[in-house]
Amino acid sequence: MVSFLIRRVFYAIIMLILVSFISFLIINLPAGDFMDQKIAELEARGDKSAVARVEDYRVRYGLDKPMLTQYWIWISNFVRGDFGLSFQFERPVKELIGQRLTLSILLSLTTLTITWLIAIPLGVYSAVNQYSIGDQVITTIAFIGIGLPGFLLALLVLYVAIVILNQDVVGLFSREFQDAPWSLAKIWDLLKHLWVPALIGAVTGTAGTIRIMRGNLLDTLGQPFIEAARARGLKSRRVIWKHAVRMAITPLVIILGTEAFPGILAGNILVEVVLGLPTIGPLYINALTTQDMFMAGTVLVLIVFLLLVGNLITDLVLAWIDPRVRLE
Amino acid sequence: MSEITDDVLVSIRNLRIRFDVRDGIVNAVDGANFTIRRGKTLGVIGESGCGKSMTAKAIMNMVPKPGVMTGEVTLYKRHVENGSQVVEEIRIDQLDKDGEEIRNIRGGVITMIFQEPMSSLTPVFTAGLHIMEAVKLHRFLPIESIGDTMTRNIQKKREVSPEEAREIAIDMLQKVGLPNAAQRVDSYPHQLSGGQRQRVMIAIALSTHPELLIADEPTTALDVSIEAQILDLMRELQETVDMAILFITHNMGVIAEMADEMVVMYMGKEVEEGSVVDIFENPKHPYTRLLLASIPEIGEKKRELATIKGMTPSPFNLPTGCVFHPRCPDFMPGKCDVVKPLLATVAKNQNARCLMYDPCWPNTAEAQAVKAKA
Amino acid sequence: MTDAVAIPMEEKKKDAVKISQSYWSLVWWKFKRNRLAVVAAFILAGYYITCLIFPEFFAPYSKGLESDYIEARPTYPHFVDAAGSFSLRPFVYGLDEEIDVATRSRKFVVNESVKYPLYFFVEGEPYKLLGLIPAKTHFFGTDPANPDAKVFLLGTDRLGRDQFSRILFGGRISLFIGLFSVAVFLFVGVTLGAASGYYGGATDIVVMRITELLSAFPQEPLFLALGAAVPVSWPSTRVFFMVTILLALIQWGGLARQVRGLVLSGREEQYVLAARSFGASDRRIIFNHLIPATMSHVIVIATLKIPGMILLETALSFLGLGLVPPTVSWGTLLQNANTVRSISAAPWYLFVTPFILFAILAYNLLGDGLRDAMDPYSK
Repeated sequence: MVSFLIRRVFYAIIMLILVSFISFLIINLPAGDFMDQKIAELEARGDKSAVARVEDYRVRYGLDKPMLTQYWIWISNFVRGDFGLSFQFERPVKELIGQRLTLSILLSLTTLTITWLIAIPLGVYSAVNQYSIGDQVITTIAFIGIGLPGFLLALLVLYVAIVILNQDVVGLFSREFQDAPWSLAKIWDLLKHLWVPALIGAVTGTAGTIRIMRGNLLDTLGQPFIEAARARGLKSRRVIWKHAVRMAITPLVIILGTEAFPGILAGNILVEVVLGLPTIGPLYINALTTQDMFMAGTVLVLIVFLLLVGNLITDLVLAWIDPRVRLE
Repeated sequence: MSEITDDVLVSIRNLRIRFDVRDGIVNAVDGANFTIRRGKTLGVIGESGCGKSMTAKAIMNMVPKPGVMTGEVTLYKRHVENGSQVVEEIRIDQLDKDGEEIRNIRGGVITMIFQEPMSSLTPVFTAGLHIMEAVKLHRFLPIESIGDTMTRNIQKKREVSPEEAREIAIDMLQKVGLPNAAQRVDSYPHQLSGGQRQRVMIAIALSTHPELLIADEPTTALDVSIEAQILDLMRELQETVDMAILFITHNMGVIAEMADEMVVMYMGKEVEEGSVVDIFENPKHPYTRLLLASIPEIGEKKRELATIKGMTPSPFNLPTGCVFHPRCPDFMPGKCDVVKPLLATVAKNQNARCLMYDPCWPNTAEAQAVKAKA
Repeated sequence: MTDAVAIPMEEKKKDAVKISQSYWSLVWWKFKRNRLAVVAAFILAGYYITCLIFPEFFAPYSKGLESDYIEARPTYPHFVDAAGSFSLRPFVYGLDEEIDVATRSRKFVVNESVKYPLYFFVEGEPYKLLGLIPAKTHFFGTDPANPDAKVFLLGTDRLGRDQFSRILFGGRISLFIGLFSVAVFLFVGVTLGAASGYYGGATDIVVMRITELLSAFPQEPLFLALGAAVPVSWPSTRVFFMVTILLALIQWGGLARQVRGLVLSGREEQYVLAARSFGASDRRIIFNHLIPATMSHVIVIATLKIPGMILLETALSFLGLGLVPPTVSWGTLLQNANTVRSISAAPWYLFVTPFILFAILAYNLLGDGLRDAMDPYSK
């Protein structure tokens, strides 16, 4: 087990190095750098001190040096926790991400909770009552939900809210709480806004989870050990939840590690952009459009980092819940 | 087969199980009648798809959806009431499928072991947990209160504690001959071999002191040497606990070794039944004869082994008359493909379903006319 | 008692042909029974005919034709006019410009006193059918003799261009991207997967390491970053092909792994061993035996992948990182609706969403129907 863990961590580190390098390359691909643009802009405004400041950044981050050196400077700072500077906002990337991280985590946790609270019971019901009317309704809704992309749904929700209900659903706070210090009233206001993006974000995931849960449970229910458990005189409910669901839940653990975990940073970028949420998704898109390289690169590498950590945790949890994995 | 006497444990009358599927109706079991006697072993033999396993499931009232069961399955359950023994008649087919009564019977009075020891144990639970699960549901211990013999007579009982259940589990694993039972009790199914798993299944089934053990092809998936061990084990255990066995198999040799009485099934119907000795000595139905002729015997080199020509017919498109006639070596044209034979006594304690025997002709005008004409 | 009769070789061959034919006829038979999937196939055929092949004919205007009607509301066709009289020929009302005093903005209102009847197969802007045949006939439109008569089924945009026409033309790009990127995706995935599975060794290691690296990236953020890296200065066709190829390149890994798995198990099949013992070449074995064996699987994957491709393109262009105007795609059309102001002022920009959603749903239904039909052992 320990050697398995060491091997996995080693593998993850190699992956992370490769991936961070590739990310850096991709982010740097656009011709001409952000600094040229910025300097031209500042010079036009006649802001001499600003120009000097930008020149200083350029030297500090080695932007005049070859690509490999640039990468080395960036990644060695990165490991020490210095993610560089957002040239657009002229503030450290770490600070900007930190500001939005709490809300991103809150949103992804809410989305995940809604997803599982709806999906697992419905998936189990659907499988246990296969071909019943309830099952057909659930599978139909799940089918449509899978094809329903969150950002289009968000646009339609915006339309309904703005044009028909005349309601404000954009963002996570009402205007009066935007910059207010934290208080009970502000938290209440946050919750009033939070459920909209969380629900939209949960639609696709819920539909997918229902299908996975139903399919797996149907497979499991057809296994001889279910019949054997029933022949021991167990109640149906106990057979289903203790023997069948326990087996069928494995893929959900995989999803938790590989989708929900990196989803903290990039769960539903598009929905977040459409609804204008103060989360990390829109920050990333903004950085990509303005070629704010350290910002975009940091977010991308952090997502990959979370994905790799998620994979690692998945392996551990799988070994814990399924004894058959432990041997390997 | 015969009237209900004291030694009858389960009687099955006119059992039919039909499945309405998209392509038509399948009668998985088509009017089965037989009796399981206390402490005896009844063997059921037939090719795959002949309805043997479905019959076993019917006895547990576990016919899977969308199957519909008709007929009677009656359990004669013995228990002690006010110091005297009472036989309670329970119509299993009329019980609620997930009700308390049937759940107490399943795993308690009637237990079952399956063909696939590989997948009949839940992979995420240890061997011990399986046994403990059954024991907790079905084994009760008398409450002992010193100086009060009355309580014993009223049979006040309590559930076993987890520690006791674990002890029972280890004890059972020892009884089924699992080496290192004290450690094996914490093994997961994938850590056991096929034979060991089947031993665990038997331990689970016997841990609740059942009156009937249904063994559905318990050795089909095992190696021959392991098969012999498991069969020996089952016989030994049957001698120590007073328990009936319903043994389902497609192997005549296993029947000869295990059973007292036997039923031969073909396409959902029993075609012959009687004591194993009688049938092996003097098989009446052509199908039984073919089955017996297809067993190789030591010392005989010349004789060609018999095969049964053709394949089992599609259940959606059954032959007219006797369902066996297209494959029957004694096929009588004009009779067998017209008239459905009845199950009737053809020798002492031996019933068959074949038009070669007079009593098997239905007593209808049409059938008698066919008989007379030919 | 044994009835073993030797079956002549010819008979056996015939039987084999019968069996292999019956697989596809069984698939077809099962597919036909799935009504929803058949309906979906017809809907998609409708999409491809109207959007991909003949948008010039079905759209009343060309995609670039500007008019004075800036962000005008849709004019819906009517059969019964305000006075209650019925006419079999549908008509649309005229639009009047009005200044909204409160918001100080211009807007259009329906003028129920002006009626423009709609005609089918009317003469209109000249175009080239399929890019070759010059034509002037449009499927529907207003009286060409009356220059004031306009029909904007789904409103107009900031330059007064007809939304309905633009959605049809946008569909051409978006649907084509779906097909084209899936074709590239299939080519790369199947070729590399089959090679990796068949040759094993170094090929296998290299291909599998690449797919692992790809799978270490989260797909959506990676695609957005790559899209952003496509230079803005590039001409629109180049951007279009780049986006298409990127779509395929970030996704082929999963397919390659599946094909590799199928080939690995297929490589040990008797018929492949037999072919090799006859001295068949690797290329022949791969293309004649192994790839066809994976076909049904691959067809299903491809069908279910197309809607994802269309959506990714739409998302990318919606964010302004993919195709940019003047290229018309569903994504660039949706860009019009990316602010709260435009949704409240001109909600008809959102009319493109139902077009996307129905295409996605139809593809999913079709893919699902195909999957059920191709699996002979399901239900």
